[in-house]
Amino acid sequence: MKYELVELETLSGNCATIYAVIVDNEESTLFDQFLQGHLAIFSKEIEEIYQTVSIIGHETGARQDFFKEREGKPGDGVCALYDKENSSLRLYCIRYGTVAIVLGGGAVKPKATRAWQDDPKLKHQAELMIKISADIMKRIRDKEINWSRDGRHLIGLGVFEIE
Amino acid sequence: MARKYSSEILNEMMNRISPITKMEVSIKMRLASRIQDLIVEKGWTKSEFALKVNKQPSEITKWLSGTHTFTMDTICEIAVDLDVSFNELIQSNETVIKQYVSICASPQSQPKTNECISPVGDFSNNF
Repeated sequence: MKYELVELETLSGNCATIYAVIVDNEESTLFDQFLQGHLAIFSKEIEEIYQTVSIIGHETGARQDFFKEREGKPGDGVCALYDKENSSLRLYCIRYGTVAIVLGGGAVKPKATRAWQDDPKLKHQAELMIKISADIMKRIRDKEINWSRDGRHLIGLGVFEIE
Repeated sequence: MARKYSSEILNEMMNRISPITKMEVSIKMRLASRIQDLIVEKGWTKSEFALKVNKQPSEITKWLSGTHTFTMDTICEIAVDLDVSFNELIQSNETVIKQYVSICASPQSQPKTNECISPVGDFSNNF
């Protein structure tokens, strides 16, 4: 699988850099597909999610309380944007402190589902982010990817292949 | 650095969201951030704050999530428990709230539904 991190210009700001993922040279990011796929039926929730990400980038940073942590493996940073009990959608991300997030994809949260492992669409999106997070961490350890001097941007990004 | 990216759907989202939705999300997140900062300033954990305000820790998690709609009563209680004035609690929101109240109050923007029944709907009377 190939993936590329791109910076979302309009959502990134002084408080956090917002990245999204393009998988296997597709035309759009996983976040675009999440928005597109759910806008018609869940317009209010999609608008609120979009605006939440914008506020994270421009006003508050990626505070821990805005996310549901431990969606992935311990310490891999994979989380979900905090969703209220009665909300229908879940969006997966990787959070790097308060300064950067990588938006993944998401799916509808079926009411009967307690864990993402129990729903195939959520499972697919969560597992994708877990793989990507692990690969980014490895490349940071190997110094292929680094943090910028101001600590807010990832440097050395390109199209990467996960075996 | 990553290449910059924009798309039709992202541009559509930017243009379609109403000023009221933008402000509602902003106020909730800023207020949550402010409460969290004040808890840290006090040197409390979230559990200690929960005991102080006589709530379950899960309720505090919701408060700090940036998605919670606070009532005016709850904001006042939190201010008292954090030993700050109402204005100090909402200070980062003050400009946003004034704009929000003026949008809600203007005849052209009178909502057809109960959009303004969030706490700041009453704020104009007390401000």
